[in-house]
Amino acid sequence: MNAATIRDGYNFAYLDEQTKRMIRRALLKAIAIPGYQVPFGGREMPMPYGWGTGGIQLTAAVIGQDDVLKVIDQGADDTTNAVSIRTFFKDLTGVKTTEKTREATLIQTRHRIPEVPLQADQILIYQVPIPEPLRFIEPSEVETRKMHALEDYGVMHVKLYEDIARYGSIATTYAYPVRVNGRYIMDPSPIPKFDNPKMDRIPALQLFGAGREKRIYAVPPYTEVLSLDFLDHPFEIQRWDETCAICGSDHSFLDEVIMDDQGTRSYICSDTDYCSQRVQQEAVA
Amino acid sequence: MQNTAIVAGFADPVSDAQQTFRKVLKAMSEPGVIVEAASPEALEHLYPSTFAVCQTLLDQQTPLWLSKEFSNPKIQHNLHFHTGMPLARQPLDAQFALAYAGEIATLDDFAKGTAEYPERNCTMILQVQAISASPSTDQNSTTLKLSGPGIKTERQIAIAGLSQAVIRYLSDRPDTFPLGIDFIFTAAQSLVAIPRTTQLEVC
Ligand SMILES: [Zn+2]
Repeated sequence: MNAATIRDGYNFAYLDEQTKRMIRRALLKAIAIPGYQVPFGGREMPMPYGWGTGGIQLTAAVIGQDDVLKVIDQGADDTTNAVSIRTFFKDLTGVKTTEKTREATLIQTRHRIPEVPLQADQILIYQVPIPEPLRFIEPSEVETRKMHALEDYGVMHVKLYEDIARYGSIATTYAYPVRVNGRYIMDPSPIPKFDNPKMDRIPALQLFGAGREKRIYAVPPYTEVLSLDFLDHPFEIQRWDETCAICGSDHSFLDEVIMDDQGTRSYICSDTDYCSQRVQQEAVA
Repeated sequence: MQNTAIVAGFADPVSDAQQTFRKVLKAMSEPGVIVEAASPEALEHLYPSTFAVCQTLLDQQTPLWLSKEFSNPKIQHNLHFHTGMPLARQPLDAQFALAYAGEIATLDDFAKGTAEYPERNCTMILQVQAISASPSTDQNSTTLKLSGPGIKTERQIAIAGLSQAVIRYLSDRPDTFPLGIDFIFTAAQSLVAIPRTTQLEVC
């Protein structure tokens, strides 16, 4: 163990071994029941909820000395949130960190899936604020649990169809609900629906942690993840007429940015690593 | 009282448990993939792999059911010493069960979870004679074709030492998803997992 780089007086990755074991057991159940939310006895972390404590606890239970960790927040490696989580694990594990999606074995994310396709043996860990996709329809935990048990998902379809009746299309653009392995309806966390197809039958393992509500769920590799839709209104992802102002990409998820005091608008890739890789390749070519 | 010798467990409990967990995590998320896992020593006829899985997953919160073959004072005492796990009186109370796969005459008595809490099932840790990635001609060996979540198309493995009850449970799937039992099969230094989502055909 690289003891010199690990903060004195703390266990490896902060969590005590008992808590890690409890989370690890819940993870194995979550994988065996894809899309089902497994309750776990999460513990307090040294940062507030909303900072991704659920994702942090999963990363802490999974991470080992050989891992290479990447942390992104809305696609960027350099936001305060991403930097503080990365520093936390660097201090408490001594593992290598990276901004390159291809080099990472563990990627903790808030609100995006990297543009570069994920590979076998990579693990994507999502920070989840509200794990229950039925919560905005049914506030009672007892009721939503029953609905999942009975596969009683009619209300979800009604809600989406009301959108179509009102707006002419499904208005939901973030946290767009999916069905996993033909059974459980799952909240993919507040990723843009642009990212939903990247969850479907991929070689990587996807883990989800909700800190406040203490739920863990998972999608094993090569597992079907379908976005809910209707025959006459098939699922569609966001598209832009613009291209990235930095790398020129016409196929990645773009953020709108204000460029100057005159309010000039521009679009740039939300995935900062993807964007800079493209710029570098361009320079080499 | 008889003096029971303590067998050495993990050399570095924090790091070894993490590494073993990652192997089990890979096995459970990619059913049929054979991974290496081992504690430095066997605990009598409890394999180094099985002992490693026990040290990784068991503690005071996980009642363990031991089959007849593993119900001896030395194994009980050592497992309790290294993990703190309580013994389950009945199969139904067990979160984990430990047996030879050949010993299992029925799986009816183990917890399968409930519709509202499907995770409240028993995970079976079953020792077998051998696990291989290629079909075996050994007549004690069963070749299985697996498909489902975690498997791109299909995957074949051969396991030696399964009872008819285990083979029947896996191929018939009497408990409708999301209910069911998850299996970890261990050979001396390796293991393979078959969760409840895996469809299985005997070749
Ligand atoms: Zn770009």
